[in-house]
Amino acid sequence: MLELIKNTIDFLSQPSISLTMILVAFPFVFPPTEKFDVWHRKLKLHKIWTKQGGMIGLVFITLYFFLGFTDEHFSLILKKPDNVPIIFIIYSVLFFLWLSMYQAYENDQRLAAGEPVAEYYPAKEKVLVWPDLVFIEFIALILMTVFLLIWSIALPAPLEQAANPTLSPNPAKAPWYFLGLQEMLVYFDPWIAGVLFPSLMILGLMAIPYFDRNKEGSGYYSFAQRRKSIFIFLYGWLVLWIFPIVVGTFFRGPNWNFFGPFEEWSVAKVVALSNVNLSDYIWVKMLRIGLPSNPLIRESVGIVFILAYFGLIPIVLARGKLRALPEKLGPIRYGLIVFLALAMMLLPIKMYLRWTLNLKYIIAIPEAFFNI
Amino acid sequence: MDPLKEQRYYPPQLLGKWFGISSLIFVGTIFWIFGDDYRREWKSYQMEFRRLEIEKTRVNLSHLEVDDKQKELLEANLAAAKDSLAGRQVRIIELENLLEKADGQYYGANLRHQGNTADLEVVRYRLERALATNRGIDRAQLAYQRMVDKDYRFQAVAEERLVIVEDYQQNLKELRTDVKDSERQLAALLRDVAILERKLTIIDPEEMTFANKVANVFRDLPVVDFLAPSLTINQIIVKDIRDNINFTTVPKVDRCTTCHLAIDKAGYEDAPQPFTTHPNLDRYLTTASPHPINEFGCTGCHAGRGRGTSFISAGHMPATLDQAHEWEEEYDWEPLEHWDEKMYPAAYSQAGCLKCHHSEPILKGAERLTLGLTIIEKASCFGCHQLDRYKGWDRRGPNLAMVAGKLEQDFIFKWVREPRSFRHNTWMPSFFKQSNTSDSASVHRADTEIHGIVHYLYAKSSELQLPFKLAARGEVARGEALFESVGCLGCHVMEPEPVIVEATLERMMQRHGPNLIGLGSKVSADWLFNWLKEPTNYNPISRMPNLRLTDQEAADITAYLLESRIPEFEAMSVPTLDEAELDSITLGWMAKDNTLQRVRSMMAEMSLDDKLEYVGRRSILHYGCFSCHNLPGFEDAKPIGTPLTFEGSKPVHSLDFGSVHEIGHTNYNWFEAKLADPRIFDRHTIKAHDAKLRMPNFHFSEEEIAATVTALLGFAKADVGHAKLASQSAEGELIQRGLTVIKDYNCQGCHIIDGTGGQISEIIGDVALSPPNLNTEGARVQPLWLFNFFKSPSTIRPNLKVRMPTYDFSDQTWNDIIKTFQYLNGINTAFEMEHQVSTASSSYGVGKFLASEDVGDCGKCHLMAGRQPTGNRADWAMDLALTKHRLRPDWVVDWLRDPEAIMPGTKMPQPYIPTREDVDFEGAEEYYPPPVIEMAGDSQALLESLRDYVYTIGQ
Repeated sequence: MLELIKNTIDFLSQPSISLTMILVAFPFVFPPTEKFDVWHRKLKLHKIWTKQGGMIGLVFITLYFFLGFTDEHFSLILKKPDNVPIIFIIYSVLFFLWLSMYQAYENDQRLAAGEPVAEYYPAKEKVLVWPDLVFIEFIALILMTVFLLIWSIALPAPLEQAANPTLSPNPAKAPWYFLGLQEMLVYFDPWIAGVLFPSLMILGLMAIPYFDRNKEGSGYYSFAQRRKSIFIFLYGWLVLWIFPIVVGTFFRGPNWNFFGPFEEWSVAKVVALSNVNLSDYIWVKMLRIGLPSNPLIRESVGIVFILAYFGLIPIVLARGKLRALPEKLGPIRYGLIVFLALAMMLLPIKMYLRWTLNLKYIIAIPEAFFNI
Repeated sequence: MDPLKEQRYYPPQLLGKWFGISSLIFVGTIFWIFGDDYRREWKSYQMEFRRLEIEKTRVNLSHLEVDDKQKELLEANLAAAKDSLAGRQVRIIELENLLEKADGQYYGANLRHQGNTADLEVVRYRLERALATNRGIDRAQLAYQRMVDKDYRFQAVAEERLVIVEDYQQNLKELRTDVKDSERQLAALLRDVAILERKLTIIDPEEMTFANKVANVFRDLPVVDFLAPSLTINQIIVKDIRDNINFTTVPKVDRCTTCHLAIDKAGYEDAPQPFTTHPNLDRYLTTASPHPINEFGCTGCHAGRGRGTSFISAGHMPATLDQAHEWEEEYDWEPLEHWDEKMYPAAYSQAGCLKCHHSEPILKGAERLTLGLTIIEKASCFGCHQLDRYKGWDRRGPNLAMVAGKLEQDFIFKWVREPRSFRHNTWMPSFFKQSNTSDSASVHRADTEIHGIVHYLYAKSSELQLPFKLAARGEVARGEALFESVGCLGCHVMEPEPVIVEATLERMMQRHGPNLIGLGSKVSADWLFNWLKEPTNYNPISRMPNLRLTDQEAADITAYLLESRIPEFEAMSVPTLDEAELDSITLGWMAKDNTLQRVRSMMAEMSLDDKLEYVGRRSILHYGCFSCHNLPGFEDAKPIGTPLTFEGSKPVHSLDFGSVHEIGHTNYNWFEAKLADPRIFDRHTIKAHDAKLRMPNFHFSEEEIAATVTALLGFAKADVGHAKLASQSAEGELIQRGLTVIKDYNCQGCHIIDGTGGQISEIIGDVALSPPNLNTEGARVQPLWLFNFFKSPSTIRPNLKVRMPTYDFSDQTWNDIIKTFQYLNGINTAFEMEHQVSTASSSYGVGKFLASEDVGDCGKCHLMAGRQPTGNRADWAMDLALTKHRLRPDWVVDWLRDPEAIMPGTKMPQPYIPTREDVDFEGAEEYYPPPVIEMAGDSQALLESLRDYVYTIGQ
């Protein structure tokens, strides 16, 4: 029975399956539109953001880790001092997510009933600082220091031998906060996964105040008033950032192969490496002629595909579904937002292309070190 | 009032309470940090050791026996001396007063003198300046002179006073002499007790003064323990042995003695670990030993992480998985993850010796390592695996270039398939039907491959010329007697049935050559006869020497050896060749570098012989037969195994454990498993035949595996300074080079050389009839004579049946060997003056007398320039006429003084050398010539005379 549960979890943890499950569930858990909200309530998913829902979630995650600590393979990963922060991250991310959603839902109810939100405070210009805020902050500071000290005593940082440049560890893992980027390297070229995407993330985050000028929901938690914004943000934060970190920490073993949490990290595990480029599909598999020698002709389909993705989709959307937006936001803001949103979608798209079609690169011009 | 003014998020008391609680927790945590930092594994060991030391000192103290009578006597003496001193008390007080006064006066005078000397220096400087600047020289000169005079005066006064002081002191000392002496005698008697008692007052709280008791506790308290703690980390910095930290190296720092506190102290042999004494203090750690702890440390030999101060961080390693589990229970042990050079388990400690002793063929005191190296040489591991240590060594197996002239095809087939079916203890390993090739398909394939190998060997074999004609009829009984006496047993055994043989260097030497059973089932009489007559005829690099057998002797031995047959082996049948299988193997190999289509068309043109030869060649290449055997067509083939030069440094993750989980995850456990079953790591793998592991099985015993693993671990990268290397001098290197040849050609099978060998005397029984002990050979013989003897051995000891064989060495090799003998005995002269003795000299006369029939009677046993001895034939010894050109004069004297000391078991008695008493009687002149009487008692002179006489024999 236990074996069956472990095997099931191993199976479900594969990025292709777990990502699909998350992507499918995401709009139902965080409904971006009223239509999804109807389903959200029909499926009783809004109960997650109640105290009972939070408790049940806590119990499930704890049971999962408990199972992990009793397992000979998973416990090796969990007990590694480097990985302890990731366990904290999972708890803290989910706790704060729950807390904010819980407060947002409570406020939504109040707003619906015409009551003031929980954060409402009549004296608008006054905050109780001394002793209330300072004292609480000070106590929190002391307790946090205590926590860090005890952590450092209980789990001493491993002092390793001098690094040997000729012996790289297998798997070679980045620090935990970079594991998301490292996970992207599986699907993209270093300069895209390591330079372009991180830059876009930083620029996109910096640009949020300029994109989002909606005054509703400012100063208090509310979900109903900012469904789409919260949905997009959580997609970026949870799916594109936290999820790859968790996968990179727990599920990537020797040779950067995927391993279920309860699977033995065997160096000998073999994964078929049979990825091919889009150009191979077009010229070799479909047209049954060799690859053209001119790289631009060879990659023309991929180039057209990428140009269409970033060039045509915004126009099509502006004429179709999102007709209201360009007017509301202006063409530049609209264009940037859609561009960033498309870039955010590129990661899962590429992942799926890899899993389903063994697609290596959409555009592959190794001659110029340019691969997408 | 504004109601908001009174508003609080939380009541202040509550916040205060929380603040108080969290601050207390914080303070508690700070203490925890100190406690955690203070509590170290090694401290508890040091405290435990202190208890042990106190206990031990007390026991030692109680065991000390003091002669009570002596003690009483000395105490009485002391009391008497003190009494008499009391009578002189008045005088003493008077003297002491005078001394005090004189001392004061001397002190004052000396002070004045010193003050003046300082002033003098200033004036001297002024004078020097004046001379340099050429200004005011006269005035400065005058002042200087005045000061010098003054200085003399002050000095004189001070010295005068000092004399008075010393005078009083001397007087006082004399008055107290007897008391002092008595005290000293008593102290000497009680010295050992006093040392132990003093030690106890330092370490044992019960014996301490109150102040020390307080200090004893205080000095080890947290925070203040940086001042002068009794619990400290001990460390040894070894400059010449360095740890590699990749971009640079750092000296080894060994803190092992922090816990192993008695490792270099005798007396703790039975103490529990980590307090046990090192098992071999004569060789290690003590200052008198060749490896003092301060120069070699611990991890230089044992490996491990010297800087570690806990059981885990020092890199202790369990020998087996079971021990690992025990340690996990007992010490929470886990392998030290981030340190490649983990400690050798105790069984493999000797691996560390190779770091510095890298050129010695035999390491005394490291028997297991020596055995391991010997096995590697014997099994010819370096044939397949590159090992820099054995660069340039010849192939060890028999020459197969002319094998068709020696062996039948069927024999080769059966032998290659399973050598042990013919000879149960052969060094030829088993290649086929191993743990990864025991399935019927593999066995079938193997049979076909062997057909190919046999075909190849026969096809490529060149014709063998047999220059010696076997004309005489050999007689088995005579052959057996010769086989057992002429020296064959120095290297060979005749063991028809397996016997359990202890794995030691000596037993290996006894089995240097093959076990000679079953030759009747193997070779023809003609071949064997020719081989015995001249081995290099068949194998130019054979290590089998020529015993200069006569035709009759060779025929007899041939007859004897051919008697032995192995009927079971002869009865085994050779399977017929399966051509379909041959085709499929051919196709498999050819398809490696060709397309299937082309292979098919190529194969269509190949005859059966072509295919056999092709498969044979590919199989020989695949299994690496050429690594040990000289094979036509493979003269320049490259070794097929993984290089082993630095195998001991290979990180564990580079070793493929496959699915073998029942052994520990360490390099030595991997080596053990690999040597026990070379194919074990193919378990549960699916591989094409040519990708399977192919190291053959040598059927090693457990001890042989342990020895080999020791050597393998020793083949490691090491950063050792020149000063630490053994045999680093030119002489040392030459000795090791010579000893390597000596070991390689098994000289020690017959002779004792450098304290090792001579096993053949176990069979001969009588040391006197065995090949000579070569312990002092370098000092014994003249180098030129030895060189000529090696080139053409001649009979020296007429009674010896065993023969010195003729080896086909180059002059260079002989020179190496001769120099090795010389350097081993501290002799380094290549040319020496002949020892000339005049028959007219008196020493000649004395010698002649000592050797004469009535006295020494040398002629009873020794031949004298061809003259037969008068004594029993069985005791006949070498011709003394040889001495002049053979022996070195200094050595002869040493030999005559005590033959037994040089050659234990010799029949040579100590010659009679008259003493002073012997000649000190009335009428001695009747018995002794006058020069003898004169020299009697001076044994050196008499021995030299005897020696001088011997040097004239045969002149």
